[in-house]
Parts: sequence; structure tokens; C-alpha cells
Amino acid sequence: MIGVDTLAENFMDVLEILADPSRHSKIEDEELCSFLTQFLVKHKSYNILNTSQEAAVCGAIKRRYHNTPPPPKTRDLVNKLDQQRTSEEDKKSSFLDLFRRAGWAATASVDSVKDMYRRKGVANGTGTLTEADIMTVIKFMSSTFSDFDARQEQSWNAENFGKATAQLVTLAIAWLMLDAGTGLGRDPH
Amino acid sequence: MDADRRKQNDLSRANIVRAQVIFLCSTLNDENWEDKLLELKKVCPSSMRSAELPQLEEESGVEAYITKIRKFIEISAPRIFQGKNGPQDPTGLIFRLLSEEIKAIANKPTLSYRFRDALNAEQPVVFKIFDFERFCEQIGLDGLEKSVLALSLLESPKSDLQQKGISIRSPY
Repeated sequence: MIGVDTLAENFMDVLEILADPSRHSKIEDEELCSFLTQFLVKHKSYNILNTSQEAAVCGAIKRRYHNTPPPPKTRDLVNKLDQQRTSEEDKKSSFLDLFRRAGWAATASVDSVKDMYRRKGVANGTGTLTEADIMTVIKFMSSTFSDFDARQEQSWNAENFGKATAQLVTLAIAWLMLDAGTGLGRDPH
Repeated sequence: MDADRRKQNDLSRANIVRAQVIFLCSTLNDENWEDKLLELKKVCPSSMRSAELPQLEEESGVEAYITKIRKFIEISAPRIFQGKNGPQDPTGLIFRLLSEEIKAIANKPTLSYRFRDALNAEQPVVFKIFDFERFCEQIGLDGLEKSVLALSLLESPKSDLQQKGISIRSPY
């Protein structure tokens, strides 16, 4: 297919141009936003780009505006696409993977731990976590905990993790208990 | 009744504008090109600024513009696909004008549908089997500009433009 072939063949070139503010330097916000919308949203059904390539396009735009404020329409579109992609990736990732990727910053505060739960849909009730999911994270934290780093507040903060977990997963644990006892406690979602 | 009459008038007007565009393109040469170009711009402004668009659409400007691009492509076809200037454009003047217009469209993703519409023709043969890759190469488009035009083709009503691969042969 002409369009799709051309787009695939020119992809690396497009990335370079988008990342370089000296090329097409006068492109207007509306035009750039229109191009990105056509490339990343409107013609998605043609499977022109995979998820990593979509992320690379958004990354190129961020590099383009690294030293200058991004134009509003383009900025909003890129942020929206980033959020959608992160949300999709989070759904596919395990709870442990989220902590692995975020590192100790995930437990830097109670709110940051709550954010990890939110990303798995626990806070808004769309996702479920099993006791095993949480235990795996605790084991991971234990195995990678550094006392030395913790003194400099650069390691896992078990207290924050505990507080957030106690506040958010009561219901999930209750389901687990029911599940273990009767086999009927599966979350309808 | 009034609406029908208005529609009829618009159609007649569009046909006259198209005929003017074709005539002006066909009679451009080195001696008269400044005058003819001025006339061409009056009949069919380049219309690349979005702000001008509503007025131009009212005046059948888009159709005239598309007719102009088609005529430019037709006249420049020997140069683009064969590598030598054709009899209607011995000095490559029309090719230069075409290049400017195509570059302008390729830098305006909001208006790139005009390229798709310009290619949405069966006659002459250059539109029937259009070598898009070679066209972009000859015009000198970069990757982003090519991609802007390629995206517009994804919505082409012509299945050959969507489905034929890049191995399409030049008609020349």
C-alpha cells in the first residue's frame, strides 16, 4: 500500500526531522498537531506504527521542544498519547513490574505508593490484586533493600508502602479471604 | 428552485474557472510567464494560508486549485517520470511551479487532502498509474513532507492509490 509503505520507509527520517528544531522550524502548532493526529491517531487502523514507534514519535517531539516551550495543541496531544500508552502498558504489566520500573521513588511517599495501586486500577475499583501480587513486591523490596541507601532516603520505604497498602487493599484482602474459604470470592470484574 | 439554480450557477462558474486554469497553464511560456502567472493567481490563488480557505471555498477556489495541480502534473509528467522536459514545458517552468505548490501542500497537513483530491482522477494515464515514490523524489521532498502526502493518500477513494505497492511502474 503506497501510503503505508512510504510511511514505514521514511519513519527514521521523520523521527530525525521531528527531533531537530532547526528543521521545519516554522511549522505551526496546528499543522504539527494535525500531522501527529493523522500519523498516530486517525489512521491507527492501518497499523503504521507499533507502540514503541509511537513512543519514539512523542519522544522526538519532546526533544524538539527541549529548550523552548512546546506549542499548546502539540503539547496536549503528546501528553494525552503518553498517558494513554502508559495506562495501556500498566494494564499489561504486573504489580511487581511497576515497582521494578519506578524504583525506590515508588515508595518515596504514601501518595506515590497509592499512585502505583491506582495504576493497577485498585484505587478506582477497576483492577484487582491478589495477596501473591503484593507479597511478590514485598519480597522484591526485601531482596533489593539497602540499609545504607535507606539512611540517605534512597531505598524502599516500607512504612509508606505499609500505610498505603493498609488504606487501599482492605477490600481486596477481604475478597482473597473469601476466595480462600469458599471459592466464591472472585471479583466480578 | 433557488437552491437548484444557485447550484447550477456554481457548477457553471467552476467549469469556467477550470477552463481558464487549463488554458493559462497550457499557454505559459518563458516570454509570458510573469503575466500568465499573475492571471493564474487571480483565477486560482495559491490558497495555502488556512485563513483564506473559507472565502476560497465559497468561490470554488479549491476545485480550481486542484485543477491547476492536475494540469501541472500532467504537463510535468515527462520530466518527473522520464527525466526530460516535455513539449508543453520545454524549460521546466511548470515543473518548478508544481514543485513549489507540492512543497507548500506537504508543509500543511491540514490541507494535504488537496493532494489526494488532485490525484483522484483516471485521465490522463499519469493519474491512472501514479508512481508516488518517484514523484516525491523528483519534487525533492524530505521524509516528513513525503509522510504528510502519504497520510493523505490513505483516505483516497481510488483503491489503486491505496493498494498498489511502491513497485508501480511509471507510465512513461
